[in-house]
Amino acid sequence: MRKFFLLAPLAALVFVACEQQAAEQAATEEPVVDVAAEEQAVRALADSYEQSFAAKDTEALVGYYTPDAVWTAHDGTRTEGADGFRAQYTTMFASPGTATIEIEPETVVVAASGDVGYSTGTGTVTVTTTDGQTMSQTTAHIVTFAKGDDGQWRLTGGMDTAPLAASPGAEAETAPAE
Amino acid sequence: MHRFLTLIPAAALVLACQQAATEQAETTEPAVDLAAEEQAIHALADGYEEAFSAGNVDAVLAMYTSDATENSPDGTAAPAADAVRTTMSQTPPGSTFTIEHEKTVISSSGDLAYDMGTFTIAGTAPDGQTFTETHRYLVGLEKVDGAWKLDATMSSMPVGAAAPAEAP
Repeated sequence: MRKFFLLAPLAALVFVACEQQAAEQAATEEPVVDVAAEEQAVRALADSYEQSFAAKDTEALVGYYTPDAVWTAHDGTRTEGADGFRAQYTTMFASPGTATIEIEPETVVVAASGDVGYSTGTGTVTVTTTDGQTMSQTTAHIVTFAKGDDGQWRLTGGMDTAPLAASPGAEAETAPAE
Repeated sequence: MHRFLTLIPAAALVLACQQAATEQAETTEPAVDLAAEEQAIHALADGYEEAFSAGNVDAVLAMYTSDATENSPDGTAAPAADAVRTTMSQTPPGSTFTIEHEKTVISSSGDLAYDMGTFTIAGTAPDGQTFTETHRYLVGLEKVDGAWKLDATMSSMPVGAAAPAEAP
């Protein structure tokens, strides 16, 4: 019995120290990434982007990009940084009427670490003027993503093609004015 | 002696604790050397330059994943195998292919990356005119069986002064 009382505090101390060591080690290790959930988050970003685009919310759209993001068009011209994207969207939304974009991600690939990804797919921009004319263009793209310290995925860049030949809007469509 | 015997169970507990910590450390992924991974991706590009310049289609195709796609600036998308064969068959023999990296980003897990920059094809056309074409590119890369492979690629139309030069 005396032996038990002698050992119990010692064993308890060792056990507590061991648990503490395990907890500290676990705390410094990267958490396990749910890659499928991250892929979903990237797809959700596309949905959210579509809504901001339809609302012509330039500042929200600029916020989808990292400060050093670079977008390259099929002709090699580039849009860079917040000022570049702001100017692009401001020009795009200057005309009255509606503008929508429909993004169809074909592949979304996210790293096991959940911090970098890329996506391929198409985007269809449809513009309807106040007199009812509608023009639609579909292009293919690669978009690259990074997850920020705030846990948000943002576009770090991308590239798109010329309007696809099969695009319904490769040529302007005209709808009768109401 | 009695005190010594009393300490043996405690020592055994410490050893068990150490062993558990070691096992946990062994199951943790080793830290990725991102600089080495970037070097590996750039080495892949060096190999691409050599294989393309040598007209070695099979060597170029070996650098793509099995389901890789290649998007041309005109919007044509094709399996990389078809796109590469077409491009290389249309490139005059003896042409050189060079790559300039602008930015290479690698995931902290070292299994996914993207790379952007420019590539230049220079050579002499069948009519004797020399040409130099520089395009921008963006590629997504995946590590497959320990080797980086091109997974998704896209390039722009020629940029800058790409007019054919007069033959000497």
